[in-house]
Amino acid sequence: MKILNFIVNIILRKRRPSGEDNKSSAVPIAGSVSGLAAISRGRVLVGGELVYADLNSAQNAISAAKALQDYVVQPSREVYSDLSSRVSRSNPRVRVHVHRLAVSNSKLRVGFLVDGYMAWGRKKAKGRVALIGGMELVNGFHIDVLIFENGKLISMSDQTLPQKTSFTFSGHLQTLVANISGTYEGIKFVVAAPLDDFDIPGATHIGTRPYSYIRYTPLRTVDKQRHVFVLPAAICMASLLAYIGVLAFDVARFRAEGIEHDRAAQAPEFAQGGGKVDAGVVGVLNQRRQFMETPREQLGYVRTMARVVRGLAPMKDAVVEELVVPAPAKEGDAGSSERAAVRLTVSLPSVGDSVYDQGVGVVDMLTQSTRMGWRLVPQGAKDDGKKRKFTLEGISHG
Amino acid sequence: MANSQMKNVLLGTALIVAGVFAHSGFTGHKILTVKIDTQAENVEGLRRYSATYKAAEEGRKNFDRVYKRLPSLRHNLALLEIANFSAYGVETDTDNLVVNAATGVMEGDVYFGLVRACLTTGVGGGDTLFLRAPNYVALQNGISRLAERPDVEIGSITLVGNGPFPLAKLSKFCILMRES
Repeated sequence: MKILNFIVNIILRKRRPSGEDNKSSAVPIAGSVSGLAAISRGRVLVGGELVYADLNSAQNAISAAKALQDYVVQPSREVYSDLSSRVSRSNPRVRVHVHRLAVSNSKLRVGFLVDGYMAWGRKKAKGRVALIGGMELVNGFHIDVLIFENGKLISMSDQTLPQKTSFTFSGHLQTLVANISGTYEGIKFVVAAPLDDFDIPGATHIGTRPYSYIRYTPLRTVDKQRHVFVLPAAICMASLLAYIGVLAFDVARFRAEGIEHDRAAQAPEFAQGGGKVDAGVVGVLNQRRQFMETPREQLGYVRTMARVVRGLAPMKDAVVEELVVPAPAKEGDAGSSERAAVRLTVSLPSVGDSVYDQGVGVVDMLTQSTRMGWRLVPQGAKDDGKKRKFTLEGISHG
Repeated sequence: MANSQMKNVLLGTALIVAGVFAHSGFTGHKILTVKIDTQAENVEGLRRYSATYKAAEEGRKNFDRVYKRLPSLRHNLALLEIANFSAYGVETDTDNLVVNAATGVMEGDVYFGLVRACLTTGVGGGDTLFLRAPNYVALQNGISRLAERPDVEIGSITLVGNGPFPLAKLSKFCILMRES
């Protein structure tokens, strides 16, 4: 947990007020407007009338000093600096107001007495401790009372006491001490500089030890209005930027697509369609391609014809009366789907006695020379004395 | 304190403003996204069309190369020139040549710029074209080579060899031509 706190402190750049300056006694202390006005530059330790600090939870944050015209709000001080308290919303804070004179002079580096007291209490106070700090002003004492319990600030108030010479002084002081002792049982008293020799029985004097925790910085006005506007403005700006960004990105994409579209539409093929897709053109082109790619049947039966003609060549004395090579019936046409037969009528000089035998010879020869299947048609052999005429059918096997 | 109230009011207002921005930004983003997607689809469509077109363009060039343009004058000589029989070693009876009216080639009810003109020999009758050659082999050779031409259609073939020259009767001999 300590390590975690250490890391968080580093991250939050919450530098611990170091004992950067042990000769802090040299720093002038201002407790009133006139005292501060006398210091024009350099370090100054403020307290007294110049500073109002109160311990308030964040919810109950009405400050009396707000009503004071000349006081300026300073960043609130955290009471606990450990991680869990920082995260918690209910972490009480010490609200600090400083006279505007301390803010208006940018050459001043201002440290707060109350910071020193708080830091001392956080680090050094054991058990219940009441730290009495403050200073003597012209019109009396301005006292800061901080009550710590095991290092935690549980109460904070400022009081005024009359001057020491006043006859009511000791009475007031006794009342104050009695009040504290009565409220917090067993409390120990500590008196811190610049107060000294206060007559509190049993009190420890710690002198300027709290000073070592004080940091001196030029103060800036905490512009409350700006603080109020920053987050909403940031939200609005972020959403506006996101809005513009998303839409601009989309519009850019849309325009890019439009340019792509125009570029694609510039191709010559869209010229006739006026940049539009003309399904008809492609349809026609596809039809043409299909038509041209369709296998042509005529090549088949023309080849058959050529085969028959070549097959007849060895029969020197044969005369082709007629060779019919029919185109195959188109699909869907009437007629059989059988392969159309080639019909050949050929006349030859008579050889041998039997017309039929010669016909068979012709069939055999043709079958061999054409590699087709041949047969004589019924009554396909005729003999007119000089010549014999045979009518045959041939089937191509492909 | 009024200050903290004002702080809350301001913060609330800021959150409302942020909410309005977020809402309208989201709405705008949705609308634009739809538009962008539509546009992207359009571009994709154009690209696809381009690709198809380019592929088809090759086909178109091929088409123009393969098919001769339909002669503007319907003259037999023009078609005979296209048929160019002499180059295939065959001849036809040009005096009796009849050219039938060119009809559009339809493929699944789509006309794609191709017409078919069929040649017939008038005397022989019917839809037949007569071709002659000095011998069978020349005739067969010529027909085979004609049949290989993609712009030539040949139907049934009948060879007749008992005359002085071998004769081929080709039914439905047509020439395919592009209209433009």
